[in-house]
Amino acid sequence: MIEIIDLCKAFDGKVVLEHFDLQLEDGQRYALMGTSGSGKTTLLNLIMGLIQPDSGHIIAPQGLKISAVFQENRLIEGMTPAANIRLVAAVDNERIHQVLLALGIEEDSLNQPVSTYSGGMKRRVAIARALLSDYNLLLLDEPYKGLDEETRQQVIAVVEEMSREKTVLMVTHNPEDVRGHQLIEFAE
Amino acid sequence: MKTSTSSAETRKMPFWAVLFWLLVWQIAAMLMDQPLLLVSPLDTLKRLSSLVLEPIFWKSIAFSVGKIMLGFGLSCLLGIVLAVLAYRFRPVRQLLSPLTATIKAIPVASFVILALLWVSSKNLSVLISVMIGFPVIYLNTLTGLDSIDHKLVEMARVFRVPLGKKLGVVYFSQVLPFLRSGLNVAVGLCWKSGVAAEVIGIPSGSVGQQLYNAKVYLETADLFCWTVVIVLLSVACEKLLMLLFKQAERWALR
Repeated sequence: MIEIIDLCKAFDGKVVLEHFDLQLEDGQRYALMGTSGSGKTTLLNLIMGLIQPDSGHIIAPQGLKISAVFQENRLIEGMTPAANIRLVAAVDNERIHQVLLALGIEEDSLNQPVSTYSGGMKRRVAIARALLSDYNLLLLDEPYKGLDEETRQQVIAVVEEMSREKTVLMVTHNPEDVRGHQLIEFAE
Repeated sequence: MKTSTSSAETRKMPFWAVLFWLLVWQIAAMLMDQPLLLVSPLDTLKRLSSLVLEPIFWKSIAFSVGKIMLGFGLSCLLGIVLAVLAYRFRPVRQLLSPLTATIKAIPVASFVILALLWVSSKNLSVLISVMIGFPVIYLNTLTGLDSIDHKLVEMARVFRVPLGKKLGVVYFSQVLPFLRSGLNVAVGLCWKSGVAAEVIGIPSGSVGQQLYNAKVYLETADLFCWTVVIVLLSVACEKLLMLLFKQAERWALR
């Protein structure tokens, strides 16, 4: 279980999180919804340890391994999807290609550098990377952004299948994504 | 992408263009008919074919390649190490800023004459190559480091990427284009300045000394020959370096 206690964070005097509390139970799925600027991404960054809170605590169990789909894809453009994934995950090419194909990436594109990919394809590589790394907490920041409806459903099915029994915390603006998740509403 | 494609286009040297300029050179030499002033490419080639049979030819090449490439290697080491320190520690960057600006502005000839007071003419081209190559490599590496996307560094941190992989892939892949262009420019500059230093310092058994002798004894064919040899050596070093660099790139991004 991850416990977030009385968390406060402000940027340049603007309060983003104020006395925020949350408990994330193991193996549960959570969806964070709220208006832009309400602090959802800030919360993910705090959990990842990329920024420090002004006050409050995040109590995480020993050996917590985080995986993430960031708001941006954060891929190394000159490398193939498999090389990007192998950077963070100890998996073979066969498994990587299997997941990428399941996410709807064409077989012909697999050996191309990511720089030649469309925005939607890059997003799916970022999702594959997060799913294939070793983790017990998966943080997803608007993971299905930029995907067309058909691909979106295909990707959601793969994510749900591969992250089963893991703790998932997803930031989303789409009410449809909340299905199967416990909703945490953020107010500005 | 577009920039690298256009720069690759600029670097391309089609065979017909080389042939055209060789023809212009040949015709100009024939029209002038003054071998003391302008030797034709055919005569240069003829002289080169006899020069390669002389032991001093290879000895001079070995001497200059050794000294200039040693200077280039040291400038790489110095440039990269100091760029990493300057990237990491602001006072190092501030301290080196006036030094690199001054080195860049000082003419090679002033350097050479000054350096002759400090080192023997034998090692002059090493020192000059370091002085000329260092700021180019330092500034290119530092620009590359400054342009690193910190979001990728954060990504590597979140995914617990091991340090070796982080340095090799996340950092190196981003600094790579800057470093490649720095090394490419620096190796050519080291050759130009290194030979210029040898011509002024006249170390015994160097390419620069051969060039100097050719000028003194008005052996214009030799002068052209040695110039061609210098160009070929510089290009060969550049190509070899880029080949090694490609291997390093493949290894780091494997």
